[in-house]
Amino acid sequence: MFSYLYMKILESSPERYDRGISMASLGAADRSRERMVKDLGPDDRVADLGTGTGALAFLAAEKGATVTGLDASAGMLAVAERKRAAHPAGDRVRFVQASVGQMDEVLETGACTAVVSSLLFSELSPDERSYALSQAFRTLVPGGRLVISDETLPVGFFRRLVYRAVRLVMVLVSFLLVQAGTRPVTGLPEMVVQEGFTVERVEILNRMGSFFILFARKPETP
Amino acid sequence: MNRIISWIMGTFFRWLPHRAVTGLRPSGRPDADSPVLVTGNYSLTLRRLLAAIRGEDAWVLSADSGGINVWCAACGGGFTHLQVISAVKVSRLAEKVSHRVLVLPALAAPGVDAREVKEHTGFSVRFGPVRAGDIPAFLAAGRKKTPAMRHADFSLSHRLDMLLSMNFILWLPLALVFGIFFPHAFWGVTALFWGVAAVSYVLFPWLPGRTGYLRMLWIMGGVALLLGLAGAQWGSGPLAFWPWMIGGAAITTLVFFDAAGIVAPMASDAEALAFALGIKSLPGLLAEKPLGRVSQDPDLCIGCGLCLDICPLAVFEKPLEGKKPVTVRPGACFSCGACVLQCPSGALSLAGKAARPGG
Repeated sequence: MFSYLYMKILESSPERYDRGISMASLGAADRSRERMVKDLGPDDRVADLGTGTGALAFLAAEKGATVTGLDASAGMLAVAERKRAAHPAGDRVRFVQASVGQMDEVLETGACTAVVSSLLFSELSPDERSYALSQAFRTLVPGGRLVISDETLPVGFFRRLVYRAVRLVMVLVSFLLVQAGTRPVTGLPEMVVQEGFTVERVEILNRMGSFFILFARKPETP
Repeated sequence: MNRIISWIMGTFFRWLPHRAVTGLRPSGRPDADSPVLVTGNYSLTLRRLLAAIRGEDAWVLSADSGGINVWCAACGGGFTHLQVISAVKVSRLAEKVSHRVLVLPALAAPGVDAREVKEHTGFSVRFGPVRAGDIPAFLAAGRKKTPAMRHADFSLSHRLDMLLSMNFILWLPLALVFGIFFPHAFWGVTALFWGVAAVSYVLFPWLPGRTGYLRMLWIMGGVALLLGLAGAQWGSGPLAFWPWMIGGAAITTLVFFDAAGIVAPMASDAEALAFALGIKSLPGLLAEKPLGRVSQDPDLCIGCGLCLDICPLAVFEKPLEGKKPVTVRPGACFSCGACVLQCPSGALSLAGKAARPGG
């Protein structure tokens, strides 16, 4: 029973999470957030899936949007709440502790004009990815936007080789320092289409081709 | 590659979590009527479960226990109804089977509230056997358990299984320190460590003493006695090997740090020690809970027998047909809390003021 303690010590620390992610992605995660919220405005009602410590949620709120940030981790949300209290746009953000499986209880049908998510999908199992996308589809208004950023495997043998080599070092270093890291997700655009979305574009954020933002939309007419 | 890593983690580093992909997996050729077996996502657990039910047509639903085994995660708050509810919904299980029954490991009962699962998913929970190896017989018998299937027996094979996996990670730092700084003593320390560990794990149930720490004293004494005899025979006198006596005592302490919680149906000494030192809860690590033994309010008991069905230590017994279960072996209770969580009428509680070693 007590060995549980030893196992839990290795879990990532919320306080150091942001720094770890920033390191492991070589800054791409930070750059991606700005681009993800670029088109948001005061009329938007946004759900941020896997909000973590709220970095993306606060950026969206600064654009005037109303944001609901969901995360399964109470530790992460505790840090997010502390940040919220001090943030000028904090009153437009609310955080809810919920896992992917609870999206049906937290997000009402047609309640959102945009669903955003940074570095969540690579953490999910294939089942969870498809479920999260179907729930995002349900909670979006027709014409609503889906914006997902994450890490992926680059295209091409040489790039992949470089990616794996750099990744090995970065993941090791960031894990040792902050017990957080990122990993790649593949086949997401296909899955997004399968759940009924129209993919508008995929932006690649780094030269290695390993960090992307996917912009998709729920069709206006079913 | 994943199988090799999983084997290495399960064999040498069992104290460390190792995650398998969660979700619904078929075993054999399951259809809409096949049973659904729920478990966590510790890779070793999943591997052993799938091996144990080879040949059965069943669905295996792996929920996110953080890569930790079912019992530890259920007791520590990492494997609860929340993870099970999420797994059921996310896998869209309701579209894949026509029945509404989940079979959970009995050892998930300290964490997974069956009523919450039913309320949020429509699936009712049946707690199955303690060991995966009993699942085929359990299914063949119409999902009925024999008393043996209910009990965590901590048999010799279980203890030997734990011997390498639990002690390798304790030996590793010793090996590094002695291998680098004191290479002349490396093999001696290694032999002493594994000798002490093997004898302790094999003899543990027969060592006298109420707690693991008391039982430790017998092994310490034994090591000192053997070294004394060896000193008298081959050295300058009984105390000729005194540094090894001190080393032996230190190694025995290391091996016994949480031995009771690992190889015996006893309360964890380490947990009780942490409580005694005032560490009653660590944020995200240890949940504060009473460590007292179970007590029953006979007026509230409705006689359903669920406690008797899920207790891994046979604390309860149903004396006569139609009568209420009674607590017959309160001393055997080691405060896992399964019966308290599951009792539909709130008749059970862990009445504990303070933690006592062995309490």
